[in-house]
Amino acid sequence: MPETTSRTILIDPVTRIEGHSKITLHLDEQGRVEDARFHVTQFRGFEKFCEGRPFYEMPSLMARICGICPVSHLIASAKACDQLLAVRIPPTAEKLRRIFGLAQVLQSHALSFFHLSSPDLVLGMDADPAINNIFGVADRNPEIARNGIRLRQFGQQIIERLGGKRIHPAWIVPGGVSEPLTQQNRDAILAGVPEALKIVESTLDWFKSIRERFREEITTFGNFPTLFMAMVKPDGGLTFYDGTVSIMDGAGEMVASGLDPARYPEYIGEKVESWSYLKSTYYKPKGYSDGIYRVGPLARLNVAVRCGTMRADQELAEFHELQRTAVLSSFHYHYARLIEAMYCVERLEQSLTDPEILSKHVRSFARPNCFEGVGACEAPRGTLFHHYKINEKGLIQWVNLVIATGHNNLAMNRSILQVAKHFVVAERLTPGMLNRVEAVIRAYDPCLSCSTHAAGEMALHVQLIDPQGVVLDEVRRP
Amino acid sequence: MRVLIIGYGNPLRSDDGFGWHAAQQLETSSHLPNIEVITRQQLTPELAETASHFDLVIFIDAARDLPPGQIRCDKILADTSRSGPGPSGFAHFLTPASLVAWSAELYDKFPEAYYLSVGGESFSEGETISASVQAAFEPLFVRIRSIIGGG
Repeated sequence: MPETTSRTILIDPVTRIEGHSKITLHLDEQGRVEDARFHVTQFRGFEKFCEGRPFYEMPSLMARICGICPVSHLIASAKACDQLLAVRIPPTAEKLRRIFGLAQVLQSHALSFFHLSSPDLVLGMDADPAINNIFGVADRNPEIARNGIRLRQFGQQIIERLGGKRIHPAWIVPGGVSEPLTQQNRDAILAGVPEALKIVESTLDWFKSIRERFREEITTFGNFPTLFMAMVKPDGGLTFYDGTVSIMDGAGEMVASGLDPARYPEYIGEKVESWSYLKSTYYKPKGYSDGIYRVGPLARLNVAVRCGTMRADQELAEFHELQRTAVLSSFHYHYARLIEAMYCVERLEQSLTDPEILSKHVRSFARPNCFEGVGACEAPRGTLFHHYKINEKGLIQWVNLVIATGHNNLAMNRSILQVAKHFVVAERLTPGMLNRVEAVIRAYDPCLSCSTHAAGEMALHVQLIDPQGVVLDEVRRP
Repeated sequence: MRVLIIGYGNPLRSDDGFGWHAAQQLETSSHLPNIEVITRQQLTPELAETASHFDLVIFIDAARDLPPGQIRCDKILADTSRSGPGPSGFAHFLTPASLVAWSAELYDKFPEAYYLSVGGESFSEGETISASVQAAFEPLFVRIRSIIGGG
C-alpha cells in the first residue's frame, strides 16, 4: 500500500515483471505529475566479463543472461558465431532453431499474459492488492489460470525435448544444433498442438470479450505515436529467426525497410542515463529522443503485413483494423502477444511436419574465419542483437548486446508519464492508481535481467517527488 | 500410491545443487516403485499441474539457514500453503507451499507434501557438494523412504 508522508510517493517494488526497478513520479508546483522515470537499478555486466573467453563458449554463456528467454540469447549468439565461422548452417539446423525459437516465444508469452498480467485483466486494475495475483485469478476464472500453466508447459516441454532441459539449454551451437530431432520427440510435440491451439483460441475470444472494459487504459497506456521496429521476412511477413529490419512511424508509414541487422550501429544509437542501468536506444536519423521506438509484439504486428498462418492472419487483419494508423496503445501488447502465440502454435505444426525436419545433418564445422560477427533475432520482447569481435586465437575481445527491453526504454518512460498524469492524484493515492503505473510496464513485459544483465529478483519502487526534490510518497512491495 | 520427488537448485552453485544431486541419486539407485523423480533449477508454475497427478510430493532443496548437512523436514499444510513469495510478485518461480496450493486451487488435488531442506556450506561457483553436506545424502534417503513407507 502506498504511504503518504508530507510530500512524497514511493512504490517499491513494481511487481509481476522480470527484474528490479523503481519508478519516480515528479510533481509540479500544483502537485500534478510532470515527469516520470523508470529506473532499472541492477547491473551484471555480461558484455565485460565475456572478454577473453573463447568465442565458442558464447552461446552457453549468453543463455545464462536470462531464465525466461535463454533460447533467444542462444539463437542470437549462435548466429553471431556462425558469422565468425563464416559458415552456412544445414537447412534442417536452421528449421530446428526456428522451432526452438517459436517454443521460446510461446512459453514466454504465456508467462507474460497468464501469470503476470492476467490478474489485472481478470480482477481489474482496482482489485485489492491482497488478491490481485494468480490465486485471485484461480478463484475468479480457474480456466484462465489452468490454460496459462498448460500453454507454458507446452512451450517448455518442446524446449526440453529439443534442448535436453527447460532452462539454459545448450543445444544450439555455432554451426547449427548439437543433436537432430528424433521422430519420437517430433510426434510427442505434434500431439500437443491441438490443445495448445484450443487454449490460444479460447483465450483470444475471452480477451476480446473483456477488452472494452479497459477503454480508459487503452486510451492512456502508452497511447502516442512512436516509431515501431521489427525484423520481417523478405515478403514483409512476421518472423522470429531472421530477416531485415523495418521501421514504421506512428502514422503507419514505412520509414525504413530492408535494413541489414548486422549494420545496426548505423541506425540504432544507445544512450546511457545517469539514473538507470538500462540503456536507452533510439533511431539515429531522428536523434535522441525523437528517435523513440517500440519493439516486441505490438511493433512486430504493426510492421508485418502477414503472419503466414491461417488463424494468425485472420487475427492480424482484425488487429490492423483497430486503428487506421499503426496501432498505438501499448495496452494492445496483450492482444498482439496472443496473436503471436497463435502464430507460434500454427507454425510449429507446419515446421514439424516438414519432411526434412528429421534429417541427421544438423551442424557445420569450421574454424574462425572472421573477426567480427553480428547475430540478430526477434526475442519475445523484441529485436535482439549480439555483436562480437574476436582475435586471431578466437578469443572474445569485445561484446555489445542490444536487448529488447532497452529498445523500449524511452517508450516505457513516456508511457509511465502518460498513465501517471491521467490516473495519479497526489492528494489521494489509491492502490489502483499505482497498479496502473505498474500495469503499463507489464504490458511491455520488460525483462530487466536480460536488458541490464541484472542479478536477483525483480522489484519495483515508485516515488512521487515534488519540484524541490522532496519525496512525497513511495510504495515498495516485498 | 504415486510419489513425485522434485530435487531443485542450481548445480553450478556447489551445495545449492544438493537437491538436484539427491534426486538424481534417488532416480538411479533407489529402486523405489511408483516414483517419478524430476530435477529443476527452480519451481515453476507448470509443476502444479504435474504435482496434481501424484498422491505424495517430496521437495528436496538446499538451505542457507541450517548448519551444513543438517536436515529439516516440513510437512506442507493446506492452511499455510498460500504463504511465502511466489505468485503475487514473481510468478516464474514458486515455493513448495505455493506450488502445492496451486495444485489444490487449480486441479482440486492437494497431495500430501513434504519439504526436505539440507543446510549448505558453500554456494559459490562449483559443481561439487561440500564434504559436510555430502554426509547428509544417506540420512536424507532414509528419511524419504520413511515418508514413502508411511513412517
